[in-house]
Amino acid sequence: MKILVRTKILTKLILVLIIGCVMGFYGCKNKPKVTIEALKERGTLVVLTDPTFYPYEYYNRKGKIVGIDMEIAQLIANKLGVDLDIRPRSFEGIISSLSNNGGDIAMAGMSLTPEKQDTYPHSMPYADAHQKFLLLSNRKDIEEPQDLAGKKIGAPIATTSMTCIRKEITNGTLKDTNTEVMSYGNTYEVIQALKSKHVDAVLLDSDTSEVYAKKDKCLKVLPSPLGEEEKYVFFYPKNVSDEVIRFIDNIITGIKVNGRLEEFRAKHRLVNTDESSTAEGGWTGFFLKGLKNTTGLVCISMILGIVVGVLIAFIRVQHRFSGNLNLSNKAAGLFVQIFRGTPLMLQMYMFDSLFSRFLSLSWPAVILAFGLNSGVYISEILRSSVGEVDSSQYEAARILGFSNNQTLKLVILPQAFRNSVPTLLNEFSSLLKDTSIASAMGIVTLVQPAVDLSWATNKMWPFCFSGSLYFLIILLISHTLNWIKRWSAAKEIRKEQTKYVKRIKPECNDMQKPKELG
Amino acid sequence: MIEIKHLVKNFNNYTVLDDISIKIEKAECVLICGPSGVGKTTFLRCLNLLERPTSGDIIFEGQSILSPTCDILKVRQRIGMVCQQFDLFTNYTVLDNITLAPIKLLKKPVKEAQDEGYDLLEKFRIADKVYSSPLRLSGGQRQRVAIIRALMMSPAVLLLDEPTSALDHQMQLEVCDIIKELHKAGITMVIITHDTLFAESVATRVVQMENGKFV
Ligand SMILES: Nc1ncnc2c1ncn2[C@@H]1O[C@H](COP(=O)(O)OP(=O)(O)OP(=O)(O)O)[C@@H](O)[C@H]1O
Ligand SMILES: [Mg+2]
Repeated sequence: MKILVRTKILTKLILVLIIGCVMGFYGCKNKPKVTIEALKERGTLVVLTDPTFYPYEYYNRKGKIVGIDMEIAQLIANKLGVDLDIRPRSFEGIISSLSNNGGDIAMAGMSLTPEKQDTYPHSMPYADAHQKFLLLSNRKDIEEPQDLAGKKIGAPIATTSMTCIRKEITNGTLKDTNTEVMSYGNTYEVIQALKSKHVDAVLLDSDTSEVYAKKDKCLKVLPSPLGEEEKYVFFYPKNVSDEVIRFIDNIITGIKVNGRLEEFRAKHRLVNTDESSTAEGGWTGFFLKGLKNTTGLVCISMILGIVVGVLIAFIRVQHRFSGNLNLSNKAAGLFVQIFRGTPLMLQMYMFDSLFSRFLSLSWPAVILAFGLNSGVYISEILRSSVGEVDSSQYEAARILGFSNNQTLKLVILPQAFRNSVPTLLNEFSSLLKDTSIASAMGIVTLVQPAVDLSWATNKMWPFCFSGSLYFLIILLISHTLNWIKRWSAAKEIRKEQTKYVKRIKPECNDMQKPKELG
Repeated sequence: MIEIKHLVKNFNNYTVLDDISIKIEKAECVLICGPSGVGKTTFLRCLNLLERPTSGDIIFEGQSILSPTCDILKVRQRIGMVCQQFDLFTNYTVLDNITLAPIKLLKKPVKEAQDEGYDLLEKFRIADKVYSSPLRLSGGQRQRVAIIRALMMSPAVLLLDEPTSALDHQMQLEVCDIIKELHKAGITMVIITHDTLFAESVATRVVQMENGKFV
């Protein structure tokens, strides 16, 4: 028995490995070279960026990605005579997309580090920066980087800030001082941690630090920088042609000389400080976009999830009932285990890197990941609620001469559905809350506007507002689901009542007082 | 009508039915009595193959229902059965419970099936529960609905497993009357009961079951 179980697990493992390898190979082949001609032919320039990096790239109040890098990107696209296709990713996501041919160029305020220098082709430097500490204005005890010895320091994950602080601690001014480093998902999160006093200071690129300090009176920049000067460059996928690199380097030299670059920098620092202190009405657009994306994502993934879930549940229940569909059942089981056993985030990245070859949108990947993931859970919910239906109900149907399919369709599934409503509702609400991780693929959900606005206004209410929007959506879903449940229960009754209402005469009711009750 | 030949049923080496042979003629009303746990229900369940016999044969209307060519679903439609725990479909109203099978299996027009069902409900005095959920019925009401559900298929044979166990005396008399009526109408019946009422009034034959055999 034990051996049998083991071989089963082993075959599954092997199958998973094979699937993984096939996908991996698929990822390796078929990488056409990025040339100017190819770009022109395609008509788009795909730019990868992480829009949480003032002032290089960020969402403006209307939810559009703007910034210094984006100005340059637009310029390049114009010069090439192609459309600009900006694909937001998390900072880690950019690197993986780049290695998967998910884009033509990464423009994300990325510093030239020795590791990246060797791995990816890059442009000439277009800006330089230092790492500077940002801290709360009322911290009088910290005046030099050395004063941070033994304190907690925050930095965004996978950035040069992180590398810099680590280097400083292992082998620099902060060596042997018990200084703690905390890593956060992006700049917003790190600033939030600072303001909530989870960390004593945060390390960011000097431009970013200065913009934040200018926007927010509670924050100040430590004047002396940490570590060495850094150069910002654009990175390319490995299969880029030299002519593209030369073409873009020319543009960079051009804007450095003619002052456009300085214009961009001035514009984006200015716009930020101005806008956040003025009309908050502009935020409505950002929130609306978040609301639209969140509800859209939830609705579509829910529908996809229900379709997939019902299909899988049908195969598996049918198999249990009648013993056929053996192969499909095994496949469905494997599918369920794979999707249940791997993180949603990973699935999202995987689909994205698969799709990015022929699609410029990150939406399909996100929807597919969410839909399949929730489909798997829905199928398990349905399956277990089929199991909950009393076995005597099957028997009663068999006695009357119903076939397996009829029994399922007429008796078991309707009851199972009714049993499953509470658990389904659970699944949908966690689906709704999970949509916030779609931000890793650059999709604005209801979380970013709240974080952004709360940061700009230094108030709590954006969180409450965003929270109540989530709450409203789930309320809506729960009402719809309960309505469907009641509707499906009442359907037959309503239908017959209209036909039969005439036949129930008052006197019938009198003479039919049941004895058991009377 | 039904001929049972050397029927044996084992549950994991535990013999419940031990070489039973009995021939039930058309329009007969056979009563099966016996102590609890002796295998009465098991015997009845073998007749429409809810349990597969370990060995032996069952001939229904000249055909072995154990042969692979036999369409057991069709046979079950012709053999009505009311179980001891009379399970009504909880997702349907009383009316839908009793009309579901005639509409779906016999392809009766909805209206006709409903009229018929309503008449039967009136006859059993539960017409006021026509739209109730089975979960809101008393035990006796459920039992009556279960009997009606079986009758709605106009079966050639009716297997009743303690059909009056949940009824009071008055209702027992009425069910008994109905069974008499059905008997007159020519339906073959096999009834498990402890009720002497049936033995006196409707039974054409009473068999006693003991140790997995009829005595
Ligand atoms: N599915 C089963 N698996 C194992 N044993 C079973 C199964 N069904 C019934 N039995 C056993 O078979 C024996 C006969 O059961 P059965 O239900 O036929 O008794 P009965 O004569 O109908 O009793 P009662 O009058 O209490 O209803 C019992 O001992 C019971 O435990
Ligand atoms: Mg019994």
